[in-house]
Formats: sequence, structure tokens, C-alpha cells
Amino acid sequence: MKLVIREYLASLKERDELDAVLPDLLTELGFTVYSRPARGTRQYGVDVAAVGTGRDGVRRVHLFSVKSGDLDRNEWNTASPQSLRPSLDEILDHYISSRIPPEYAALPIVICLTFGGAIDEQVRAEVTGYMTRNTTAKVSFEEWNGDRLAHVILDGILREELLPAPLRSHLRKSVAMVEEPDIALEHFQKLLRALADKPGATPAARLSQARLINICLWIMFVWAREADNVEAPYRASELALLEVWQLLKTDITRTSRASEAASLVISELIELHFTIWDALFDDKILPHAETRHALSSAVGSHASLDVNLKLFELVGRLALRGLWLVWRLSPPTGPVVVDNAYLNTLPAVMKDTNKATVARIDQLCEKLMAIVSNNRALLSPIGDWQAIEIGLAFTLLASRPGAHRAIDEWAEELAKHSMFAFTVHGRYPITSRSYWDLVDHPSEASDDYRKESTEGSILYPMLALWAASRGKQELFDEIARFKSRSLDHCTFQTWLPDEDSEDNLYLGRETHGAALAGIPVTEGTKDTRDFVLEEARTNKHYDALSAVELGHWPIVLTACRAHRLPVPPQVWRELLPNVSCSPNGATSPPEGDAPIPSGAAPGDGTS
Amino acid sequence: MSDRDDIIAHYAAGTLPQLFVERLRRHRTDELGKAFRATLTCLHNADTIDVLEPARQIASSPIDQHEFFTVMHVYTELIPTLEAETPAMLAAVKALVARAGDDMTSGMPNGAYRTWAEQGKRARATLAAIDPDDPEDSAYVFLGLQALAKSEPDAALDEAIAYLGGTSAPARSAAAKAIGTFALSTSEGRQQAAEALSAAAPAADDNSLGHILTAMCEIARAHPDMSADAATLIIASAPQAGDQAIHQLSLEFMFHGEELPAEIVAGLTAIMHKVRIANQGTLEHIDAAGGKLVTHKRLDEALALITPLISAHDELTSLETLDAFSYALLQLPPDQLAQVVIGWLLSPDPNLGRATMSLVGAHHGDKSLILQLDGATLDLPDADRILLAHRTIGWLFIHPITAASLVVGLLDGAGDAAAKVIADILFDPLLINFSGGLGDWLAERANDGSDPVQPVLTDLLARLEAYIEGLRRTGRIKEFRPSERERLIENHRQHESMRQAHKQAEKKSIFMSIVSRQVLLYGTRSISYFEGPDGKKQRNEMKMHSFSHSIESPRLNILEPFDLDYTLRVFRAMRKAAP
Repeated sequence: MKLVIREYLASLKERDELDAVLPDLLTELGFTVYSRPARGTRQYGVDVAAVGTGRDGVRRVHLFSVKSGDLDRNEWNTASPQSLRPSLDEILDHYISSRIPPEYAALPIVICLTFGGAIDEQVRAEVTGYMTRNTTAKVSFEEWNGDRLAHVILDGILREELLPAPLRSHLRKSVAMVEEPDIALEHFQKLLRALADKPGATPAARLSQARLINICLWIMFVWAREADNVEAPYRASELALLEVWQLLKTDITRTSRASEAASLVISELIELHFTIWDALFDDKILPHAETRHALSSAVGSHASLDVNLKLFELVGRLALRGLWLVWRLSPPTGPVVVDNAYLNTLPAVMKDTNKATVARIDQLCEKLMAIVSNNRALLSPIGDWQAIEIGLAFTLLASRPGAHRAIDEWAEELAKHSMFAFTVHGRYPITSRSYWDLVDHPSEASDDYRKESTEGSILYPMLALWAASRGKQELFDEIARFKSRSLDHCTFQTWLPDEDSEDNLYLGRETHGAALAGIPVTEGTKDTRDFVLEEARTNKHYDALSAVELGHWPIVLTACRAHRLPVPPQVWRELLPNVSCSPNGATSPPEGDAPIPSGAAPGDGTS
Repeated sequence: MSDRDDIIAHYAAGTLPQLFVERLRRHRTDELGKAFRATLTCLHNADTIDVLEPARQIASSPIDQHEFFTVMHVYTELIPTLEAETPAMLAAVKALVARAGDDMTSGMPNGAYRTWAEQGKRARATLAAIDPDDPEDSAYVFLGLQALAKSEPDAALDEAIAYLGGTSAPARSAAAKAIGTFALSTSEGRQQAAEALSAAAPAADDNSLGHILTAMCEIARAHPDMSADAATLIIASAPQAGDQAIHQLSLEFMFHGEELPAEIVAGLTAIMHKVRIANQGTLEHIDAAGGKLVTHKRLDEALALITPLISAHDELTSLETLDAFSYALLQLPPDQLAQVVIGWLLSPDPNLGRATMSLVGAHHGDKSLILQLDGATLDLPDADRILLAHRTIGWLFIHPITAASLVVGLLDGAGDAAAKVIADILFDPLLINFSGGLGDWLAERANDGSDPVQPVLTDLLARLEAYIEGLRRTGRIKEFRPSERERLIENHRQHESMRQAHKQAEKKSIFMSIVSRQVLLYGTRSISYFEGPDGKKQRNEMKMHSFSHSIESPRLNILEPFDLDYTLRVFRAMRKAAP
């Protein structure tokens, strides 16, 4: 186990990756962390500051200056501001004299040289000499290398009573199997389940469990990153976030330090999820969004089904990340159309941050549409349930006025492709989620098979809903005609949370919620929108969900994506009434809203 | 024991057929056989034995069917040499024919009978002996008339015309058939025959009509001056031609179509178009006729015969029934074959598109079928070129090099706008899907500096390289890899699908139907023994070799299957743009 952890520590790429877990490690050792600098910044050479009892039993102020990997000559002392020695000088010269909180001023100080790996022998003498020269009665130095940190992890956050041997085994297996994400995830889920089944009796115990999940996920992620396959930690990060939300949601509402700590752990998990997302999307996927077929081809399968499944999965993940950004700007209850008028209502002090957030949202919208344009399998859902991903993507696109037309184009293509495929007994969307069924679909060109495979749908009513909301009557009517002509047997429906959902939504254990069935799609009307919005406005169960009550609605969407539930229509309460296009058919974004390219026809693959 | 004694002994014992088998199985053509037959004839004609008696009893003979055919061949050679009363001979011949059943050689005794009947008054005796109303005797009306014509052609014609005007349907058919075989050396005779046939046609039953029209065809084939009369009668009779008439005429078409004048071929073609799809035998004759017309450089008439049939019957689009015709087409020079393909593809009829696909699919060989097209001299407006390019790619998509060979030809001589459209669809969906084989073929062609379309090809190859480079740059993304379970399921499905396809192929394989199957579990060499014609065992040792075949799967069938399918459907159904 120690080897696993040492390897994890040594593989941390950035200093702030170690920063991210160090406070939790110290907290679990009984330290009081009084300073945890924001990501990527430090105070006069100190990354983390804490008060705690050392190995010798003496209570000290611990000042951590953190490096990733091994400490070599470059890391030790160069002109770079990231070098360790200048940081230590800053601590000695400035931090100690001015930044120690008064209540700790009398305590002895230990400056901890912290790095995930080991000291390179070439600089060992210099480091030792530096520490010897600068050691005083008040100030001493300690080397917190990978080996020491591994002990800290094993004796603290992963200590036996928190993570007994069988669970350690699951962690080891999940790490060992990162190249087979299904298996790795299975072990990680067992670990999560074991913890969730026995939640701590006190807030502190539950926090310890949450921190344990966080560090386990980190370990798995870093190993997976080394293996160049972060699929397992990506999926694990969603489940871990949901599991920890379930674990800590009652603690967040308390007005105490426990509440603050709980929020912090959830925030750390969200950040870790984003870090993993970045490793997958920023590094591997988004750079190829504009290249025709690049992502489809990157699946590397000879089965078109695999391409289809992976692409829609990708779209859901991308959209959800965008919605986390929208969340930063939206009111606590749900997403809104983030136009200039709305942005002007936000506090002026946040203007620059918000601008950057909007730019990032627009970038993701652009990438999303580029991916759809260049990978046209995304116009042909094979599972009706892929409406979940499409719903998330529509939600993201709806949040920016410049992207509204992309919804129209995509919705139209989705509807036409699906209806045509149905008509010719092609690969039309079916309700089954079984890979066996999907890979063989259509196994028959008979009406009976087609009927059996399309007994219910969330896709068509959702497309009709958005067409009606966008004022695309022609598309709406086409779906209506198709329903009356060919899908009379099919129950048009969507899903809403109910009173059981709070207990089951995040962990996805039991079936819960309610199906809003019999959604009407009648030619010449907009009855789908009216019907769904009416229910969405009057049904209050969504608002009763803790994630919504506490202003974390993307967690509900994360749960829906992870546990395969449709986007609840309450999420769209503020969007649908505000996305209709102007009478001439075009969305008229307020001035200054970033333009979003529409789903332009793919080029010849060069760009 | 001498042959003579042997024969007499076996005759007495009632085992003469067995003796035929024993003595003549391997000696039918040699001196021993001839001597044996001569002895038989001698004994029969001397009334020592009645060699025809075993023939008349052949239905109850214990010899097996294989031995029967040996016996039948002996009789076929004996009959012309035997003295016998007509009824006795007729009875023997009929018995032999009956025992031969549906075998292709069952008519051989009849041929021998005709030769026999040509002698003396036997022909007239034959006609006198048969019952014109008996369908089984109709063959002997025919044979009798033919035999009579040998010595008394005018009398034979008169007799035949009499039968033709009679009330016995079987005899009428036989007479009509016989007239077609008469030499009719005088114009009066021909005119007389033609008039009789024409007069009989309107009221003839379907079978007789077939023979009447066939006879007219035969007369015209032998005497071109009768072509107009024949064509007139065929055209006039076409509406009443039913299955039997069509079948009879299809035989005529199959055997002699290439010798018939154009006007008759046109008339027969109109009748052939009435064939019902259920009549596979007739269709096979028509197929053979089409093939022969192609082979004899009468391509337009062949296409006029076959194309409407393909249009009318979905079942024919696979060209499985029309294999002789498709084979003949594939032997055409590339430019002529290209013209056929162009003609079919320019038709809005989807059956012809499917047939084109089948035709190209029927080409076998190491290299793809190349359709040479001199675009510059091709008299096609740009709109048609664009239409043809789309339809070509739509229908011949799975034969990309063949499709490209035609489409590239269309570039030459096309206007700039049309050339751009054609080049674009050549790239996508064709080249983008088959970047391997087609890419290599285009690259080779692009090396030819004298090719007027070389710049377009070079540009296409550059676009392809950019596209491939885009894919290469991204490579595989590990996170997208299907799970082990999914891979296993997909592999299982692929395996099952291939297994089923292999089974189906084996069922259809002609090769597998003529060989016995052995499965070797070990080794790379087989050793087996078989019995040779001399009854001795022979050792056969055979070294096993592997063989393989690969095809390039269209890329978009995996990446964008819906769009590919939809695009091809659109291409196939494309109509010419309104002017």
C-alpha cells in the first residue's frame, strides 16, 4: 500500500496538486490548518500553515513550502520563483516576522520542505547546510519527502480504523486496473459503498470519511494519469462527489466549523473532478474538436455502436462541465440565460471573473458544436436515453443566447435522423440499454420489433419541448405528425424527482421519482411546452432536493447523468420561457453576447 | 461361346439387357462393340431373335437406371439397322423413352427412330400408326413428318399443313414444329407454309402458338426473304402469347437468337417481356439469349431484351438468374461496358441501379473492374454528368475503384462548376471511405502527367492526406476504448455473423457441391487414397495452402453509419436538376 501511495506522491505533477491534499492530511493528523492559500498562490513562501504536535511531542507552528516530485538542483535554487530556497528565504525573512497569527506567536516554528519524491543527492549537502545554518532555538527544519508523506497518509487519512484491509484491497485493485475502467470503477464503487453504508456518527467522523474518499480518488487519478487513461477516475469522481454529498449534506447546513469543513471537502472534490475533466478534455479531446472525424476515429473500434456511445457520453460530460460554469453565474435555483442584461445584475466586483467565466462557457459551447458538426454520429442517437446527454447539452447551449440557434439545428437533425431511421428500419433510438441489444440493433426489420423497441420515449418529447420553446413550429409539427403516424404506441414521457428522490438520487440505489407520462405533441400547437412547464412549476419536489436547496443544482445534473435519469424539467423553468427566437426565426442575442458558431457543415477534415 | 450363342442364350433367358451391359459397357465405340451390334442386327433381321422385345419390356427389367442408359445407347445405335413393323418399333422406342424419364438424353431413341423411319414407307406408316389426339404420340407426328420430308418434302408439307388445320392439338403443335424444320426449298413452299402457320395462329392453343411462331422464326432464319412475314406474324400474335408460347420462343431465342434478323428479334423481345417471374426455366433461356446477343455484337438488342425485364422484376436485379447475360457483359471491352453502365445508371429506375451493382459485383479477379470512359468525347451535358456521378457513387459505392474509374472519366470535358461538384463527391463519400485501395489507385493514375484530370486527382490526394493527418494527429484516445465486456460482445457478434455468412456461402458454393468435404485437424499435408478407373488404389498426397482475401470496410460505416446510408440513398435517388 505504501508503494502505491509513494508512487502517487512522486507522480503529482504540479505543486498545487500536493497543496490540494496536504491540508486534509494534516487535519487528519490532528493539526489545525490555519492557512490554506488559494490554488497556485503562496504567502511569503508558505503554501500551507498549520499548528500541530510533531513526532517529538512538541507543539509547533508548521510552515510548509511545497514542491512536486523530486527535489533537484533546479527545484532547489534557481532564479525561478518556484525554487524552494528563495521560498525558504522568504519565510525566514518575512513570513515568520509578520504572518504568524498572534495566538501562535509563542510556539516554536518548524519549516517543512515538502515534496512528493526525494532529495536529489547532488543537492543534499546544500539543503542540509542551509537547514543547519538557519536552525535556531525557535526555528527548525524538517524534510517532508514522499516517504514521510506516505507515512502521514497511512497513519492519518487512510488509517486502519478508517480504511480497513479489505477496503485497502479495493483501492489497490482500482489503482491496478485503471487500464480497464469498468473493473477499476467496480472496486472503487465497493470502497465508496462500504463507506456510505457506515456513515460516521459525528460530523468529524463523516469529514474523515469524505477526506478519505478524496485522497483515494487522488491516488487513483494520479495513477491513471500516469497510465494515460483517466476514464476510471473520471467516472469515479462523479460518484465520489455524489457519495460525499450524500454523506455531508446534513453537515453543510449546520452553522459551525463542521459546516465550513464539509463545504471545503465538497469543494475539493468538485475541484478534483474538474482537474480530471481537464486532463481528459483539455489535453485529449478539445484540441481535436474541429478536426473532422478525429474524435469518432479516436474510439478505435470497428463497431459503429461504440463510436455512437462514446460520443454521446463525451457530449454529456462536456455539457455538464459547462453547466458547472453556468452555475457560478446563475441564481441558486437553476440555470438562466446568461445574457448581458443578466450579467449587469451581478455584483460589479465580480465583473472580470464573470467575464472570464462567460468566455469559458462560450468556448465550451463552441467546442460542443464543433464536435457535433465534425462527428455526425451525434445526430443519430441509438438509445432513447441518450436524450439525457442531449438534454444537458441543450441546457448548456440555452444558457448563452448566441448558442440558441445551434439547439435548433441540432434538434432538427436529431429528429429527422431518428424519424428517418425509424421509417427505414435503420438504427433508430430504442429504449434498451443492453449492449447486446444495441449492437444487434435492428435485429429485425419487422413492425413488431420496432414497436417493442420504442414503447416509451424521453427523446422525442424533449425535442418537441425545445422546438416549441424555440418557436420552431415546423419541427414541432413534424414530430407531432410522426408521433401520430408511427409512434402512437409510444409513451412520451419525462422524469421528475419526488419525495423519495432526496434519499436515492445521489447514490442511485433505488428507483425513485415520477414519470410525467402522456406528454402531448399536437400539430399546430405548443402543448408540449405548456404541459411540461405547468408540471415543472407546480411540482415542488425538485426544489426540496438538498443540492437545490443549498444552491448546488449541478450536483442534481451530475446524479442524473451518472445514474441515467433524464434532466428534470424544473431545471429548464427559467430557460425555456426565455429562449424563443425572434419572429424572423433568428435568435437575437443582446449586444455583446459572444457569438457561437452554428452547427456548420463539416469541412473536408483539415479544420 | 460366340457372340451369337451368347446372345441367343441370353435372349432365351430374358437377360439380353444384362448382356448389353456386360459386353458393351466399355466397348461401345470399338470394334468389339461394332461386331457385337452387327451380330444382334443380323440375328434380329433373320428373325432368330426379336431384339426389340426386351426394349418393349424395359419398364419391368431388373437392371438399374445406370445400366439402363447403357442399354438405351445400344438400342439407339441398333434401331436404324433393324427390320421391324412400325407399331413394334414404335412400342419399343416409346418404352425406352418412358424409362429414360426426364433425363436430358431421353430423346435419343426418338432420334434413332427418325433415322429408321426415313427408310422406305416407314414415315407414312408412322403417321398412319399414331393417334393424333394422343399427346404422347405428338413427338412421332413430328418425327414422322420430318422423316417423310426427307424423301417427299412436298407431301410432308401437305401432311403437316393438314395436321395444322386439324382439331388435334398435340398433332397441330408437332406439325408446326415440323414445318420449322423443313428445308422449304421453293418460294411457293415457303409461302404455303407461312400462310398455313399464319392462318393457324389466331386460333391456336398456347403451346401450338409457340411452335407456330418458332416455325416461322426457323423459316425466316433459313430464308431471310421470309423475315417480314415472320415478324408480322410474331407481332400480331404477341398479345395472345402465354407461358408455353413464351417458353417455346425462348428456346428458339436461346438457340438461334443471334442468327435471327433484327425485326424478328424485336418481335420476340416484346413477347419475352411478358414472361412471368415464376417461370425460371424460361428466364434462363432468355438470359442465355441475351448473353449470346451480347457475344455476337448485338449489344443494343440484348439490352432491349433484358433491361425491361430487370426493371419489371426486383428479383432479377441480383443478376443471379441472368448470369449468362452478366457474364457476357463483363467480357465487353471497358468502353462498351461503361456505356452499358452509364445507360443503366442514368435511368431513374432503381432496379437498374441495383443491377449495375450486381454486375460490377460479379466481376472477379485480382484487380477491380475499370470502366474506361472518354469523358471528353462523351456527349453528356454537365447536368447529366453530375447526375451520373452521384448515381455511380450511390450504386457502386462498395466497388470504389470501379465507381471512381467512371466518375474520374466524367471529369474530363465537364465544365468548372460540374467538375468541382464531381470532385467533391469523389472525395466525400468515396475517397474518404476507401482511402486505402482507392487512394492508391488514384495516386497511380495521378502519376500520368498527360492525363487531363491529373490536377484534380492531385488535389484530391492532398485533401485526403490532410484528412488522414487529422485522424493520425488525434490517434486513439484510451478513455474512448470500449470496455472488455463490450469488446467481447462485439467480437462474439462479428464471429457469429461471419460464421453464418460462411455457412450461407458454402450452401451456395458450386465447388462445395461437387467435392466431398474433409476436415483436417492436424498437419499441413493430407494423404488419402482413392480407387482409380482400373480399380486400383491410388495414393494422393496434397500440401495444404492458406488463402485469404481482404476488403476495405468503408470508414464512415463505422464513424457515421446513418449519414453514409442516407447520403447513398440520396445519391441513388437523385433526379436531374430542373433546367
